[in-house]
Amino acid sequence: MKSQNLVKIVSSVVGIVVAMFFVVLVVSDPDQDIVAKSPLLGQPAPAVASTTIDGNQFALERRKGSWVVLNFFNSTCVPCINEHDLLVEFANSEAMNSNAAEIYTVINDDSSDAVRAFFDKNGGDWPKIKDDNGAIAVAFGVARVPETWIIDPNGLVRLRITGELSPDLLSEQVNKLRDEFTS
Amino acid sequence: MFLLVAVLLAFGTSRTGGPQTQQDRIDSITANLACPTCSGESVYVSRAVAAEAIRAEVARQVATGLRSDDEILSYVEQRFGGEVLLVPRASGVDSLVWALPVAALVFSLFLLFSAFTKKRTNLSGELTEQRDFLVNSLQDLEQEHKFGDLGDQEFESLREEYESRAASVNSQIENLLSPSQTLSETADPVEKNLSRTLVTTLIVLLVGTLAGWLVAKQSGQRLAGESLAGSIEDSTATILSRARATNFVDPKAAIELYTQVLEVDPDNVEALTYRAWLLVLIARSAGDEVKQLAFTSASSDLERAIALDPNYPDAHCFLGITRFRLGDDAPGAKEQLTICAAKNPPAEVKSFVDSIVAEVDAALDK
Repeated sequence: MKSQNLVKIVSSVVGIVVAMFFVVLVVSDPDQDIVAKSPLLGQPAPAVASTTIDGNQFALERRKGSWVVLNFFNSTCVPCINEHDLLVEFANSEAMNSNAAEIYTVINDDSSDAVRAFFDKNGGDWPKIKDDNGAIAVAFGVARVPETWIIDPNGLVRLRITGELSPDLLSEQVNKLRDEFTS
Repeated sequence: MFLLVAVLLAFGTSRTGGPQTQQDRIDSITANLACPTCSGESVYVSRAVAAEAIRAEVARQVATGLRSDDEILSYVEQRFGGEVLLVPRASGVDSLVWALPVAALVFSLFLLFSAFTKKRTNLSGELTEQRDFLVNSLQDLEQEHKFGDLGDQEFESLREEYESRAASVNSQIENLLSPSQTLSETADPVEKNLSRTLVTTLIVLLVGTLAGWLVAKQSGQRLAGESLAGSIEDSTATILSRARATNFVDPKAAIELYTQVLEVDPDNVEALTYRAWLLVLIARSAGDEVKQLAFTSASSDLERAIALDPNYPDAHCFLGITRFRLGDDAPGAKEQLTICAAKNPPAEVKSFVDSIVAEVDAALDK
């Protein structure tokens, strides 16, 4: 009799747990936040170094003291093309800021010539960094482009935005982080 | 059951044959990594861009020989997240993937064993009841015969039948019992022995958990621990970031942090530069003797930083300011500040330089 009761209790508990599990699965929204998670958030940015398509040296750790925006880009990727005007707009607005964020394009699986031609046509005079073997993308855990990363003047990764930028998103996030940093 | 677990664990621990060549290492590592943009493919087999980039990075790290296989896996996992690991980890929630089936197997075997034992006990109980019934019936039969309620022939017939059935039941009971058991032992219901049941359950739980833990440790993906995963490069990067955040809040603490970095990596350009710069800032409010000592020490560190990395703008900028503020050397300051401006210093450093350029120019015009 006792064991029958025990079986009933255990079965009920298991049933409730399974039911709750399904309820959580059904009710919960999938994570569609454009500001994405990354194990690197709050950590020192990877010490990546490369050259720009103009032949200049680039070392991320040498940009400490500035806000840095890294945009992973491919000239044939439609979201990258779509968000380009927003990046140009952001760069222009930052040029008037005394504590301007520096923007860099990291080329992902694309040729320097294609990228140069794209920027010549669509504007954007910031440095374009070569990432021939994908080392920078791997260092940041970037699997798909576009992705945009924000690094603070202390060299810490502060934000990761996956996918196409929406209007004013980048400015809002950079300004918010800058305010938090100075306060 | 214990033997089975022991054999399985012994088999697991006796695995041999690690990668022999660099290519073996690359193949082995990439076979354990999931392509982040594909479904159900490892980095080893995938031809996706992201997978090829990871493969190239793994090959680069294997070639440099600075990281073990576990550390390389940890490097990729720390970038792409735990879902990139094809073999679940031996720690945290992932370890349940390994531990639960083994624990469940141990519990199931125990439950099966208990069920069979109980069934045998129940059967034995039923047969005992049947035998007792037959013995009682025989006694009743004898009573009825004694009082003349049964005729001799009928009595003999029934008695033979009851005796025969009782003998058969006895035989069945004997077959069920092991030689060491007595009938009184088997007749005790298991539930009555509560403490024995509890101890048995605890032992089974312990064995199941231990077996699951051992299998998880043996078969799970072993990564370099969080604190041990970082190489010297990662560790210094963390200390440098902390120092950077402390620079103007607590310059003395920041100087200590930069010194820590230089103890590990004496050629760290950033630590050399910023330790020197903070020394200059502190010395500005001190007496002439301290200023002179700070000037000598800071100039030495900044010049060393420039020698190590001539393209680092911060060192040029700070050397220019130091020469002007502490060394009263306007031409020397101008030379460095010009190089600094040409090398595109970061915004924070540029703000220091902008505030002094006019003063240096004025001093040169005199």
